[in-house]
Amino acid sequence: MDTNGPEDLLKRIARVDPPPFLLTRIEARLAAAVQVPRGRSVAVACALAALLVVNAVVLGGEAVGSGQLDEVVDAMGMNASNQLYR
Amino acid sequence: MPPQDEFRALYHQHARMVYNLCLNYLHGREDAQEATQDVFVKVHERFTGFKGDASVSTWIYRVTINTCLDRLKARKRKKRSLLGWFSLSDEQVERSASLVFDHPGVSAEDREALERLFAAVDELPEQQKTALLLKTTEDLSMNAIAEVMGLSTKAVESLLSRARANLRQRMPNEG
Repeated sequence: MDTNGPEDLLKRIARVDPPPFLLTRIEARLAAAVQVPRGRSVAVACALAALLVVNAVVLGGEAVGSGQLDEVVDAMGMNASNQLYR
Repeated sequence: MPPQDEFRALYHQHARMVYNLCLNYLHGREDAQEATQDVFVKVHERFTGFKGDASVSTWIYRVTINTCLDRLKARKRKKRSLLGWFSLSDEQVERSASLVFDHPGVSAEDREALERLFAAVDELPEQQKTALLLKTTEDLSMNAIAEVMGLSTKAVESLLSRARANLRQRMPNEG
């Protein structure tokens, strides 16, 4: 048995040229890769801005509400404490 | 990132090598074309990070080999999941894989023998397969193979020796 048979077979494989459109496809992929991050960063910025607005609304509401709540409770004759006996 | 002219020059200098190595790992035109694109996209992305501790050709060889090996692993995972979903036997899956052997560098008279040989080469451990392909299809010297694989020449010789022994075991009737 010729022990180099498999290797000789592999050496007989001819080298071929890559198809001419490959470079175009590569450059198109590179161009698309540059565009996507910008869109993504705009989306992230909008999401962060929305989060800040929601936070501001919630925090602003809490700061105003705490003192007024006691007045409402008193006006309605309710007990703000959970103690049964005063 | 390299300027466009520089990148195009890099492409024209190495595309043939990359494409042919991808064909020898993946055995199909479509897969090799996609892998070649992946390689050059990575080269473009990582070019500024390339430290120059090896030649550009050596570095591109490494990117190509790693890209092809990743594709082969993904292919094997897909095969295993097909086995599970459709209860196909190993033989049925292997037969379906061989239907996509589409290597333009293989002559009609060698096709059948090379299909069998590549099936055996695909079963080799990754390093043995890489050493064998770089020696036979790329005709690299032992020193060049050692540089690409980051090994000593003795380690490369050992890998080649084991690859040959494994192939003889898997293909006892092939001359």
